[in-house]
Amino acid sequence: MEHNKMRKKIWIKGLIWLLFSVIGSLLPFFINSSYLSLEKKVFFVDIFGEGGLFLVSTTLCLVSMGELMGIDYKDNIRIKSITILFVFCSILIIIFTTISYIFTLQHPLDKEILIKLAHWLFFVSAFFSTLSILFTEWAEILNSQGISL
Amino acid sequence: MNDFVTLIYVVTSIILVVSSIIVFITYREVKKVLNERISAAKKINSEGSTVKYHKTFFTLVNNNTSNSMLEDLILAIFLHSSTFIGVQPKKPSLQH
Repeated sequence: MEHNKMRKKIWIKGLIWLLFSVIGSLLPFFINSSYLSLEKKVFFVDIFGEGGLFLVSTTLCLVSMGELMGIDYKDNIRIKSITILFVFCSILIIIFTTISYIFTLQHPLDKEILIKLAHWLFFVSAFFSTLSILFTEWAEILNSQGISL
Repeated sequence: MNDFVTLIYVVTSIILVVSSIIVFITYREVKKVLNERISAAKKINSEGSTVKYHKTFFTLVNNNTSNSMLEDLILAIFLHSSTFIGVQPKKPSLQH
């Protein structure tokens, strides 16, 4: 496979992931904010106050982790090590988002801090899951070409 | 609570930086390996694996008994195998 074809394939995979998973998962928040803006001025607390972003972040990380776990290593130790590292990082992010979600529900006074944290964790999980998806695609290309790093 | 939030910021920042570096390095290596393969394949196609393989073929034949049937057999095997792996060799001359 030529390098340009490989790059095109990866770009398409990345774009589909960004459009239909990352941006698509924010659609309910956009619709909700549009609906609320008809009646009053909308704040972040109104949209993200219930910890919805934590749930979305958890889902993104879980989906990318599932993709990572589906990689066929074919005795490629390097791909295997990187995959294990990425899965471990995904689990860490999932633990953080889950605990933060529980904090959001249990401690309403800390909502300002938690909303900032929700934005950060959403950015982290979106970025990290995109990297994981790209890595999965490369691993598949390497396996299909019979190349071991 | 604040300690936990700080811990999350620190750990996730490290995860982002490390994973970005790993993915970038992997991408560069994949690109390098694929480019090497492409240039090697182009070289074989342009110069003709024919030259290389025919050299081997004639060396083999010259070092052994000059048997026309053997030559034909080896040549047939070579042509078929090279067609099978996708190389398009020019038909060589047996005049040597």
